[in-house]
Order: sequence, then structure tokens, then C-alpha cells
Amino acid sequence: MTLRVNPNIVPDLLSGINGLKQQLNTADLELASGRSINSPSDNPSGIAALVLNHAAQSSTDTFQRNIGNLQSTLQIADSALNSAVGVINQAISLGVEAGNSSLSSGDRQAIAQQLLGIQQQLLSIANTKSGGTYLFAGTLVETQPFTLNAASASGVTYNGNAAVTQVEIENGQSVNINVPGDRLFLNPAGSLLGSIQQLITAVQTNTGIPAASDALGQASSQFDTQRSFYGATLNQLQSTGTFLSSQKLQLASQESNIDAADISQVVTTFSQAQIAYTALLQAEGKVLSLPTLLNFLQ
Amino acid sequence: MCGTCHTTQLSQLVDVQTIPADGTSLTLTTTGGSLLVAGNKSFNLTTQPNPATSVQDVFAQGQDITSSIRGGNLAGEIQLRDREIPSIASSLDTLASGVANAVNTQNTAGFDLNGNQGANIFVPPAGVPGAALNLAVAISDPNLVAASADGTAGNNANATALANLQDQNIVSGRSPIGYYSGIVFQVGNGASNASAALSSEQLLIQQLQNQQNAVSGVSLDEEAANLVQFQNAYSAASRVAAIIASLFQTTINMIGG
Repeated sequence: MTLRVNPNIVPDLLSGINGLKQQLNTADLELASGRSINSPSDNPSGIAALVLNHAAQSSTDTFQRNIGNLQSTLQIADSALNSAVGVINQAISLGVEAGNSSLSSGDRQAIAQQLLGIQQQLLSIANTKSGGTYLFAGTLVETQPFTLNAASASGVTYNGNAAVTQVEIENGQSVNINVPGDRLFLNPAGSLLGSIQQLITAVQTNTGIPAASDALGQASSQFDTQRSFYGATLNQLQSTGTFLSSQKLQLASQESNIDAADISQVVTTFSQAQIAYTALLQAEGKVLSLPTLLNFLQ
Repeated sequence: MCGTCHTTQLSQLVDVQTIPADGTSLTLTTTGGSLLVAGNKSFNLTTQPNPATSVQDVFAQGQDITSSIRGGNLAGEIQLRDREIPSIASSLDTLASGVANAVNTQNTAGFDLNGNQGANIFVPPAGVPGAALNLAVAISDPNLVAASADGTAGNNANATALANLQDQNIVSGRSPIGYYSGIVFQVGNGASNASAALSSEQLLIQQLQNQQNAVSGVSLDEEAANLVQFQNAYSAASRVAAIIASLFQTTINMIGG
């Protein structure tokens, strides 16, 4: 007695067809998306790594955006302070001119008027705004930091504070992003606005003009020292930005290591499955139409 | 129709055991012993909402058998509904309540743009269960985000602290993103294990069906051969009958002569 063969081969045939179709579908999906992980079940540990990778990429994106925003704000601050330098130099030469003893009192009054104009210009630079906030007010960014005050020795009142804001530009690395206005314009080691006021009074009263000019010179160099912060910080932002770009590239390549489809391998799998599928269909068509003994009984 | 087809169909839905009642009938029960078919009577399974969980429980003749169903589609659906999905939902709840509470606590520590002490950003979760479902933002005015640590408008220390929550272990001793990647892993792993189990079970079923069909399947060749055999036997028997008839005829003729 030989082993009886299962006469109903249809389920076997169908499961063979289904299996190959599934292989074709998987390969097709990988080719279409370019990814080997198209749902979490494709590679559970890979997808967990991908979640972390995407989080790292998006925090890198945020740091890059921070840097972009800071760069534009700091550039505005830097160029405002740069423009102050020309105005200060003008004040210094006016001081020298006023020291000339051959000048008439009318000439000195005219110089004093020009110095008052310069004071106004410096004031408006010190009150520079960007994006609706004052740049040189410490953290009291909604308060106009400098207002004229004739009763004060410096001619102004500082309404800001001495606080410095820090922004994180990379994991665990923060930079200061401002110099408080009083340190820039009213520095005890050389007060810019104070020495301008001193020079104006000196020219108006024609007393102590050389001393006031000296004080202005000293204040000017102190101002240069303080404002160099902005240039240095911009440089630092630039180099951190470059570092972040390379870090992002690295994260992207890590991502593709995890989930990029190996195209050449997928194509091979696909065409193998395709050939097998066609061959199977041909064979099964023949098997299913095989005659039985009944066909030969007349 | 084949006699076992209905049993097979039934066993795809629930776990069935068959007890031969007498020579001609079967009694069908679940493996837990609940009666499904006895003689020519069938007993319906019914569902009723469970007052505690508000999901439907399965009853057999007034008895709750939800937890004793061990196989078939029904057991699969029940396991998915009562164990797999609640476990993932509870992880999401833990994540949502951890993040909401930590963000609220940090925001309350700072000052908003109006200089006031910060308030909750999220509606505080009543508890862990349902936290993900009910997660909602409590404020609509962005000025109420307490970015400042000292009350001045330009201070961002509290905003930085809020951002740094992402790296702190605020969800069940893990960072939010670490915890979330664990959930994704759990889901993916569950699905991948299930489909691996599915294909191996399918192979097993196919093997068993093959074996069953090898014994009981109808082969056309076999039936045709039998047909010829029976036809020949029939012809042979007819020939015998015809010969006997002709013998009788001869004998009768002899008497008549």
C-alpha cells in the first residue's frame, strides 16, 4: 500500500502564490519608500533607534534656528554699535576744535549744539530695537533703556538692568547674548554718555575742555572693549553653526544606516520573486488542468 | 456537506472540544466546559457590557466566560482588547502625565510675559489612567508661557529649563523620548512576534489539513478506478445471472419436450 496523496492541492497552491506575492509586495514597498523600515514591526529595535535619532536631529535643528535668530539680532546690535564709533570720533574732533583758544564764544556755542546732536544720536543708538525689543536694556527688553535727564551727571537715566541673557546653542553649551546698556554706555571705567555730557558742559562754559576730551577718549576705548563682545560672539556662533551642520550630516547618515533600503539587494529579491511567481503560476496552471482517470473512460 | 466542516468553522471562532455522545451525535463545548451544542440543540453565546470596564463580556447561559476562552478569533480579539492595547494605552498615559506634570511644575516656577507667576500649561491630569486621552493645553495666550525665571521680559532661564526637561528622567525614571521609543519598540515587537507566530501557525494548519485531506479527501482517480471496478463486477454478476437464467430455460424446455 502506497501512501495516499492529498488529492486537494488547491490550498497548497494558493499558499505558495500568497507567499510569493507577499515577498513582491514587501520588496515593492521598500523600493517605493527607499526605506527598509516601513512600519515598527519591520525592525522593532531599529525603529526605537530611529525615534532617538529623529529627536537628536530635531534638537539640532532647533539649535541651528537659535543660532540663525541670534546671528541676525547680534548683527543688528553690532552694526548699531559700529555706527556709534563714527559719531564718537566726530565728538572727539569737536572737543579738540573747541579747545582752540582763538575761538569765539559764538563758535563754541555752535560746537556745543553739534555735540548735543551727537548726544541725541548716541542715545538713539543706545535705544536700538530689534523685533520689538530693546537690545541694550539687560533683560528689561520692553523698557526703553535710556532717557534724557538733565539732573543726572551723565545727562541720562538708565532704566534697564545689569542682567545678561544666555541661550543654549548646542547640547550643554550656552552663550551670553547681550551686554547690558549701562556697561556699554555708562561704564564706570569710562562712561561714554557721561563724558559726552561732560564735554558739552565744558564747551558751553569754556572750562575744563581738555580734561573732558581726555575723558571722552578714555570712554571711547572702553566702549570699543565692551562692544568687541558682539564680534566675538558672532564668530563663536559661526563656528558652532558649522559644527552643528556636520553633526546633522552625521545624524542623517546614522539614520540611513538604520533604515535605508539596500536597493541593489531589494531589486535582486524583487526580480527573483517575480521569476518564481511567474514560474509558479505556469506550473500551477498545468497541474490544475491535468486530466484524471475519468477523462479516459468512455 | 462534510460532517466536520461546521466543527472546523466553529473552532476558528472559539476553542471547541468534541465529546462523542453516542454513535451518531457529538456534544460540543468550549475547553472551559461551556456547552455549545448538545444533540440537536445549540446554545448561543451572548454579550453584555461589563459595568466596571464598560466593554462587552461574553456569556454562556448566564455565566461570564470571557476569561476562560482560550482559542479562536474570539480569544484573540479579547486578548488584544483586554491586554495588549490597555498595556500600550497605559504606557501612553504614563508618558502624557509625566510630561504634563513636569512641564506644569517647571512653568509654575517661572514668570510669564506679564510678570505674573506662571500657571499650568497643560490641564493637570487627574491621575495616570486616561491622562493621554484627556491631555489638553490649558492656556491659549502664548504670553502665559513662563519663560522668565526672574520676572523680567528678556530673561529666558525658565524657558531653557522647560526645554531641558526633554533630557530629564521625568517619565517613570526615563526621559520622555527614551520612554516613547520604548513604547514604539513594544508595539513593533508585538506586531513582529504576532506575524512570526501567524506564519508558523499557518504552516502547521496547512500540514494538518494536508494530512486530513490525505485521509479523507476525494480523489477523482480513485473514484474512477472504483467506478470501473464496480461496473465490471456488476457486468460479471449480470453475466452469472444471465447464464443461470439460460440454464433454467434449457431445463424447462427439456420438461416441456
